[in-house]
Amino acid sequence: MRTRSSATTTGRTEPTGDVLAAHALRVQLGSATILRGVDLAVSPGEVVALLGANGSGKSTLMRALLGLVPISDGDAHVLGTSVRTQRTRVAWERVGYVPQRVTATSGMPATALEVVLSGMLHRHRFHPGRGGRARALEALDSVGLGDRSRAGLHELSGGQQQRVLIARALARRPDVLLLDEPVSGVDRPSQETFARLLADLHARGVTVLIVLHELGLIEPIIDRAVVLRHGRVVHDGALPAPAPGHEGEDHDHVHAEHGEHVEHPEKTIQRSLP
Amino acid sequence: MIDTWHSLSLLLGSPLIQRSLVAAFVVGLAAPVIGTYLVQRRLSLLGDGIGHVALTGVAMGWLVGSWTQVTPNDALAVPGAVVAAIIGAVIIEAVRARGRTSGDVALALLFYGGIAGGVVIMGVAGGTNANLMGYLFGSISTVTTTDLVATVAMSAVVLAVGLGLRTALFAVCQDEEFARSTGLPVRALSVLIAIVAALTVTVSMRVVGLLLVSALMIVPVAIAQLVTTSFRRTMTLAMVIGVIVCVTGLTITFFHRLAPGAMIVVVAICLYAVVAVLRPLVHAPGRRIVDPHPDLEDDVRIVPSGSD
Repeated sequence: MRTRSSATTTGRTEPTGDVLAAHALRVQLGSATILRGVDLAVSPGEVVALLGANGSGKSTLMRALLGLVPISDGDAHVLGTSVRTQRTRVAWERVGYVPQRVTATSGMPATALEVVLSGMLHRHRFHPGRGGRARALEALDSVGLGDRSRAGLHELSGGQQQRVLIARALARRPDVLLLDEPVSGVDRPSQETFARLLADLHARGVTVLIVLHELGLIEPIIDRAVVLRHGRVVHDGALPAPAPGHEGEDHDHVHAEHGEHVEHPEKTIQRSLP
Repeated sequence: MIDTWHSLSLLLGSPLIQRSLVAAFVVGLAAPVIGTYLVQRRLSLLGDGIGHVALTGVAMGWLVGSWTQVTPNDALAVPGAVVAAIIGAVIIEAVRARGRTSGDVALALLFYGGIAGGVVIMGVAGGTNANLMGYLFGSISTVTTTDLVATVAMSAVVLAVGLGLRTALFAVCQDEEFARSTGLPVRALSVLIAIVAALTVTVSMRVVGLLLVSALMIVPVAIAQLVTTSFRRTMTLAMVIGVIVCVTGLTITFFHRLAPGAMIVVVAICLYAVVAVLRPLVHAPGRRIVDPHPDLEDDVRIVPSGSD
């Protein structure tokens, strides 16, 4: 993802070695063991979905990879550098993170552009720098919010705020993107924009790890799925079938459309607790 | 009216008045800068806590001054306040970063210990109640040239950090976890915010007093927030408002025998009330109507037949 115009260039700068890796990773928060013995390896250019029920440890695994929660045992590597022992030496400027947030707002007003600009900083850069504004606008444009750059966050819908957070990560032009439930609770247009964006990033060779609750529109783009249960990896490979009770004829859940869009006739109402 | 202008021009000729006006201007400009970050972090009362702790520092300065026979006897009060405020701010930051609920009680102990300890030590050091009131509620009418130099220098540091590192501090205060994921030295920047907040408390002590410093940092920001949507504009407007309320409040006390620090805060609160009342009238036609409900697609979902 070096330049926006040359869609054929790839971000694969790590021909050997995994972009993201976890080895016998254990995360303990207080007395609770959130993750135990987790092994994970994401190769350059892969799009890997991290699945599992609520509380299975998906978000914690992602935050452990980013060094945001302490690692009790084992290790995690990002771009070949240990997060546990050398966190400050990891090339974080190549990593984009989209956290899961109910809202992007803080105690102060801020425009979408200001939030995206803050995504361009890293260890050696405390200012967006020259051309930063253009890059931030470009990132906002890629999530379909090019015309809302001056809007205050509080004026944007939940889905639009989520897209601002995605743009904030994209403004870094990352080679690795970690997304924590980027499409949970967002409106349909936001989901469609996101699916197109992800396909675009995938085509350019950006490595993606994405925590999902439902696959939805992005299912065709996903190379591999890792399923967590009770803090352990229980599946690593092709997309798993839905759990019993979720695979019924009338149960849409995540497999509604395989690429082709169908107008949904009104038939069944399914409730799924968030 | 002519009388007022005449007496004002007489007043402005007095070096004492000039110094107090310059101090009010500088502090009014600097305090809202750091207040902006504190509000963004939802730490509006941090300044209040630092102010409590700083009183112990002031008293310690007096105590050390009385031991070492320095003249004047309050020469070490401001250095003492700076040291205590910085120590207090860094402790508060450490407790905040750990995010434990027990930290809440620890902060309460620190704050009240700071005030009570300050009052007691002040008595031991031979300070009078009048001295104490000066630190608690401000003593801008007695600003010396040395005080003014210290005030301007510390305000310059606050402004340099607060404006120079704006994007980085914005990132840390907007979304700390994301900022850490970018590789920014979040802990160092957080400590820097705490230290600069401590400096701000110390310079504001002279103008409004330790019990009201937080008001000078927060209320201008709260007023600016009512009418802005961007962070940058909010900060700029808060600085302008800070200057206006400080200079206006102080000027009023030239004509009426009222406490300048409290007057400044009262002017700020009144301005907040006026803007809050007028805002709907000014903004109503252009304001976008925002749907407060989140877009939750999968709350209730209409599904098709024949899906696998």
